[in-house]
Amino acid sequence: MQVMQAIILGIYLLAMTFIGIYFTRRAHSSESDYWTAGKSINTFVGAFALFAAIASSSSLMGAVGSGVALGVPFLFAYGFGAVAILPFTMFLVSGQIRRAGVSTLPEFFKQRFGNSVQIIAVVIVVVGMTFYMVPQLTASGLIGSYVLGIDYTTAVIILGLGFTLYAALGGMWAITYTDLIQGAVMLIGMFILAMIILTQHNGFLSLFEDALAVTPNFGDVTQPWMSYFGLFLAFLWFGIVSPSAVMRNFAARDAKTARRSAMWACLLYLLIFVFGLVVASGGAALGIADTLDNQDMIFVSVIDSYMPPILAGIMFAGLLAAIMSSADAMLLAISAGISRDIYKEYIKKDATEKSVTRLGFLVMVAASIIGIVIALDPPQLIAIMVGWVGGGLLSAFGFPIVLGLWWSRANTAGALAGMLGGAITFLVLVSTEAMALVAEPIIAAPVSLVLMVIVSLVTKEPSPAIQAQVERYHSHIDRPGE
Amino acid sequence: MMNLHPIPKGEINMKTQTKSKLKDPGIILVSVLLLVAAIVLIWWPTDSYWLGISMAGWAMFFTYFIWFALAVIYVIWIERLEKQ
Repeated sequence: MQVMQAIILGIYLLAMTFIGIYFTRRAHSSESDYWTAGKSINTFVGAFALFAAIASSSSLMGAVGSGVALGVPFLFAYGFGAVAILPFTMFLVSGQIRRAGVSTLPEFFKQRFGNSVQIIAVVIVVVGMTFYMVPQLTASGLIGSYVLGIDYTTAVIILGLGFTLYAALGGMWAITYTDLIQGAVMLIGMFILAMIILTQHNGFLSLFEDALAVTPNFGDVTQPWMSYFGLFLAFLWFGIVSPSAVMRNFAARDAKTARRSAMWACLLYLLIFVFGLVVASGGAALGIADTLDNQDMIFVSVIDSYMPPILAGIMFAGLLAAIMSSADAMLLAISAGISRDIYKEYIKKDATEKSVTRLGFLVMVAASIIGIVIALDPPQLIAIMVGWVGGGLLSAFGFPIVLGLWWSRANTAGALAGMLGGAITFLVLVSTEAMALVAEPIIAAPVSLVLMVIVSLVTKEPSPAIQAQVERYHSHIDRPGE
Repeated sequence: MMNLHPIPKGEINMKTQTKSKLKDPGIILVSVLLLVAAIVLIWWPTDSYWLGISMAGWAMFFTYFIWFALAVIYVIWIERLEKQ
């Protein structure tokens, strides 16, 4: 057991739990507060929250690990898509979705395409986000077992239940405010680690030389072109298709704040990937990749090798922070899907706010238990599992969202065909292992696009009211100052 | 059913708006983003190296800064549009 690291981790988790409890009262004061923090988050908090929600454990552990194991261009391919997430989302959908006045992805599908599309979307969100809990829990289990000296299974269960509890208690208030801390810890931790590595290796040039001397293929493109392309696509679309990230957009006070938050969060993400290059080079210079059972542990080894115990403890807290905030945002999306979009919408329309919030809490606990059970024996490496979630959501939701916002001719039948066609194609490709890993959306997303366009064109056009609604999504063009 | 909504006027509006949608800063900047990504992926210079790292890798790395620049351009652009 790493005593110093364990103490710091413990203090950190306790502090986060207290923050969660502190905001509980505020969160439960109204349903709107619970889901989107009362739309009163400012640019600064919003930027860190957005950054921390998107920068999942994969951004740190998976990216650095793959950069050492598969060559640093693979890490660059992560950033190639990931740094573009927020600009791409902002350009294509965030303003329009905001003007649509909805607060979850399935709500948008209902407004634009009706109940059938909404229900299918909820099912895909719930399944996708529950599966997305698995890599987060795997990563937290690896860190926890290393720091606490306990076995992986126990670590997954304890940490999983711990962060679920605080997320479920506080809703978006707790998540957003702890995100501010988590984002800062992660960023500063990566910065300090990068500085230590650069100092020990006397700057960039000799760091690269040291890395290449120990790991000769560190600078090479080792994988087929298609894997880099698939990875780029899956990450690029993540902000649009990930229900948890979209919800963040609504937590900002107004459209201007939302845009500025996204812009600054993009810079924070860029910095993380620049620090990631230094950390991966430091990892390659250690020459440990082949000695580890699990490549996802490379980052943990780098921290342990370069940092003194007290800083390593803070760094592990930062890593865990990234995992917690991502997992919390996912839990909130799952919970909103079941309790608001299905229960209140179709099962009990007159449900009180309290009962909806309470059901949301129970759903969060249930989803995290399912996630924990799968994570006890994870099916793949963290990076691959995250790639699957991104690729799957892109294949199902990417074009129904974008065409729904931009093309008034897109109709319900088209959206259903695109969503189901894309999701099924993706699942078939993954289960038959027909393509290189993570390359599935290269085929599945265009299938969804083609189906949606053709089916929309051969069926009846949407009602004039819906078409007028699509034009309203773009009202800033015709009514500046909106 | 269609009589309820005067067709010619509706069509003219729809066309004008569709045209203006294509001039939206978001669409223009997405086109730039996709163009840059396409250049990187088509160029794909795996065999030239700089500082021991493949140029294909560096090309992806330098797009980070382009992506952030595009985000800044968008924010300024939209805020100017709103001021007008």
